[in-house]
Amino acid sequence: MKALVPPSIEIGKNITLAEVESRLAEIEARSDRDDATLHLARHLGPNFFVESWVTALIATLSSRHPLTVRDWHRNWEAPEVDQFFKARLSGFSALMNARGVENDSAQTLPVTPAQVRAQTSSLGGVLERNVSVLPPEGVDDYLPGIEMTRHAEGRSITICAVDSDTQRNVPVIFSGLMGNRKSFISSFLNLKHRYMERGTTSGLEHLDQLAAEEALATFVFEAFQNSFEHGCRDQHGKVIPGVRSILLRKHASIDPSGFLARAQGFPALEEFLKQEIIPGGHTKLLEVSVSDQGLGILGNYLHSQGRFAERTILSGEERRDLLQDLISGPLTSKTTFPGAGQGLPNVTKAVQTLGGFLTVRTDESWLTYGKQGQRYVFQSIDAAPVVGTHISLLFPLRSR
Amino acid sequence: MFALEDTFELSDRSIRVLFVDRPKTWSHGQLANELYDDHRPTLLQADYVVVREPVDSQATAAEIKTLPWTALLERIPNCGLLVLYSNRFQHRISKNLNPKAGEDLSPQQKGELLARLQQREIRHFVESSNALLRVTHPWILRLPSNKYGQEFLRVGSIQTNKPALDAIFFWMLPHLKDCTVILTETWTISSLSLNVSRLLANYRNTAPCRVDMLSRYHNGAIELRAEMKAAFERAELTEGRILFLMSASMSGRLQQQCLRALDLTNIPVNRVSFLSLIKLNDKITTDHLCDLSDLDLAFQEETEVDFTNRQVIEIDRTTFFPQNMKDRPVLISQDKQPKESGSEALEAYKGSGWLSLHRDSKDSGGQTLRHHCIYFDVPKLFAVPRFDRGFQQILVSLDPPPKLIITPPHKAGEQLAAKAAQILEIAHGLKPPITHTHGGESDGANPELSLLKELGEEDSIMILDDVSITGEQLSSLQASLRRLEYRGRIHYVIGIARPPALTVWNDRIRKLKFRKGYPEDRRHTVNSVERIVMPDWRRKQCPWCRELKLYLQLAQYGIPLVEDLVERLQLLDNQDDYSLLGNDAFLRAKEDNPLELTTNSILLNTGGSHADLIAAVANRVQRMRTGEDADRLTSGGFPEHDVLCSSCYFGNTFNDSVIRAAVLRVTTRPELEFSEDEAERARRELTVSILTSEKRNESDLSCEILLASASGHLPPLSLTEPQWKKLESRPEFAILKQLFQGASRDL
Repeated sequence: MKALVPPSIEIGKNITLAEVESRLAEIEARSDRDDATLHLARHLGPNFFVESWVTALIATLSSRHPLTVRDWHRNWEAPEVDQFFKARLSGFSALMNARGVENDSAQTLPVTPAQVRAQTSSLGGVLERNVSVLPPEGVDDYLPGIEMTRHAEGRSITICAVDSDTQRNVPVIFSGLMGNRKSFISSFLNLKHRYMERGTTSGLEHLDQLAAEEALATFVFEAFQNSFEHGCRDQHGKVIPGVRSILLRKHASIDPSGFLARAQGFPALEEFLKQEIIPGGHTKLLEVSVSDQGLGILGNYLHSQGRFAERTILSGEERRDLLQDLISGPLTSKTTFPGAGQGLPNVTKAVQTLGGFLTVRTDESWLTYGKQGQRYVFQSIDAAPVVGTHISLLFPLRSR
Repeated sequence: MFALEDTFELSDRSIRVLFVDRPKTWSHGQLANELYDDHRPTLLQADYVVVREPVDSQATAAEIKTLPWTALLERIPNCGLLVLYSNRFQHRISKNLNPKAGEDLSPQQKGELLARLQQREIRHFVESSNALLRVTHPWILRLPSNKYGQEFLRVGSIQTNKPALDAIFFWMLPHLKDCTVILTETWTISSLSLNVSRLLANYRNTAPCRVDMLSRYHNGAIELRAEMKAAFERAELTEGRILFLMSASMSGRLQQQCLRALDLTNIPVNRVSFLSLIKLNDKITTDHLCDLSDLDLAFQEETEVDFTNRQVIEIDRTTFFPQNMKDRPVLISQDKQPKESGSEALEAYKGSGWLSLHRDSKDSGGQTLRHHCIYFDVPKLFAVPRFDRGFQQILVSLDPPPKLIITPPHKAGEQLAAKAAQILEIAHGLKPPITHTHGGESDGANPELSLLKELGEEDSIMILDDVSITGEQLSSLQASLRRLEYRGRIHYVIGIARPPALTVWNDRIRKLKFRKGYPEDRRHTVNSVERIVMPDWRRKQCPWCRELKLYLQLAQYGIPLVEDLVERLQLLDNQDDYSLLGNDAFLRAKEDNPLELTTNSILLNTGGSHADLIAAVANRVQRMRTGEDADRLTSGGFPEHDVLCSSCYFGNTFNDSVIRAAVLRVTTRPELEFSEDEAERARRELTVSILTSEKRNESDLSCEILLASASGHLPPLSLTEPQWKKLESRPEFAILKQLFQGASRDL
């Protein structure tokens, strides 16, 4: 019998979601557990949702194969290491999930995962705080120890929690706020304002700014609360080690049609841009992604119903219908409590308020939720299995 | 968001209500989420949620019905939804808008509910503020009216927040029709009257009405009458009705003064109406918003008071504030009634691991119910013979034995039910079915509950819970059973009753036992294995939540946390492990030894965990707070202020740092801080001396002291350079520095 070549995946600059999906399909096609290598570019380019997708790929690959992440460069240069492995979700996630990180000369990374994790925790769990201007002299507005990312496309911030096999965590900056919507929302909006906006504006130019801010914060709260409650335990109740994250990134383009290139290979998103963004003349968009490495929305729900084994025998259609019901209606794993199960429906309501486009990548499903004509509808694409749940939203920063 | 829960007795039924405001800036969806997040346990027990729409808008019944209630109804599937609103200056309550739960109230019931809500809400504002000033012997108050008394109601003190002001406007609406001038008795209720004027302008879409105020309490002096006359003459220039607003009416004398002043003007008496916010005497006929005549505030004339050995505290006639405060230092002593208060039980159960701190309770579906500062894990007590025996004795004595066991759906309830079933089978040869419910379900949703209809008056069932705090949940289950047409007897069995005061529990027992038309020996029964007085502290009061919040604020401020504090924060935020079970209750450097208890403390002997000690101290202090104990510590008293002697936490009363730390944690700032300068200065000096002490068995309290100071639990500390130098070599220096940094940043 012919031996399989050990898996080797390449993630280059400007990789598209479709290309990440094809890599996921490659992973799914293998039945071995051989050591794998992931060649990871330090800059993933401006494509929408790409950090989130690559993070999903890293989680999936590392769950099946002992993983070594390989940097394309021959030398470690401290500023670049800081910018990527300590400050970008894909780099950080690679460091936390892989067995090792080395460069093209087989030199291991000069910092350990434990050191990076400790630094991130001491800074509140804020991984990346990428701004285009430096603070004025003498103002300690910006977090010390975090470098500006050189290749950034607009402002962004990423907040992470790292679960160990004994304990699920919360980003320090949100400690004590899980389940506490009001305080979480207030802290999140302060954080967003502090690190993503200039002056006193909220950055949102919607007709009803308060409603838009509330919708954005609700989206983040519900999605992250969902990851905290349901996205970090396996079917035996054990904590799944891994990274859970919230990523916000502003996208800007002089010409709205310039956004199309960043959605290549994702037809539903291209359609949304053509229908809503380009005619609306929007030149600024906000991407929000919330990710975990748990059992996935379906897996978790079926487990709560004592039907975990069914996840492998559901047809594509059953899977899609159930997922849609979970996202849009009050189906819940909290079976004993009246009024529970509104978390994910709140997410879809927020998408409507913001006039945005939602994509949910979980299990073998790739679900989108966006406007068709005047109505919001779900569309579903069958895809290769992915570890965790990755919920992403893209919306214009002002009303049409 | 303002929220109030209570049971209201209407003419032929009693209803449990959660009453909330929808602030103008909130959507109905936001209100739904807020209710669900902050009032989940209450929603399980409420028959109705009453939502008050923004107070300065009027609506018709049809308009109210078309508001977007869907999100709220999804969050409260088991409660009726009533909307409180107004139309043309009349209060209205809508029909029940939840088709799945609750019934419509009759017009009479709606009227009764309106009156009860008004009375309850305003009473709440009085009770939750410092409005009632009270002193005990030897002090006595000289009131603005020149009379003397032990109590004085300063109504202006209810003006603590916007919801309170808005609520008063809402209840004043029927008195505001055609009103163009509001004249208040003093400026102590000026915020309230200015807010009324502003909201009234929104309400009727007109310019704000004129607001005028008298400068001080009018006791009939001639010069004050002139001021009153001048105020009326200014009001005369505006057409329309003049509302004279009084904070409280006790004797009706102020109204008489007004009428006399009016005689001196050209204003017809029927242009002026009088409204008192609070009625303090049931003989007074002036219109009022809330009747507090049951407070029975007695006062005496000067000639009737014996001033021997009395000290007078003057109430200022302009501000209505007492002119000084008096501290009454209190020592923590041994409980004289250890059995009744539960301190004996805490001693007996120590070391069994049944107590933990800073923990959420969850139902069996994983839903968080609430936070407990001190959490009781009752099933662990079955390993202690005293509890196991007590539980068995109660079950064996149930007569008649129960035919159904009902418990709330949580893990402890399930464990207790299984144990109870075993005991009943051995004792009575019975195997009653077990069902788990929060209550509020229809019998169709829970097949075991359908059994209830088949049971007769002589049958019995058992409602079993691991812990009961106020007994509200038990009452709620009782109401659910009535709805399911159960006619038999109920045995309430509780593992540990942990009321905030014995009187609260005794009152609840009385209500739970009541069975209309049955003699004493056939009424419901209420039994608990133990009864332990304990503060009912949630997130807001939990000292470990306060600690967590401080670290969170440091992180949000952009201060990189030192490693020890990151670990501490993760420990406090660990939702799964509940690590504050053992000896982690107090902040210390990682390499430092945990604080430990030595022998023969009057609060707890050796052998317990930090949680055991915290519970023992909390039990003792709570007993003092309730006033049921000879050593009284009524926190927040004003102008007579009970304050704990600093020797309790920094002096010689308790030498162990661990007890001092426990006292610091379970007390509130008003219980620690003196209002008199000299005593407070001495307390601060004592604090610094402990902090900088050379003795390690004293200075090991340093982290806790600076934590208390940084989190606002104690006043800020200032240290000199040499004092800081003394701390530099300590293992906890990095923590102290960061805490001090936090304290000085005024987070």
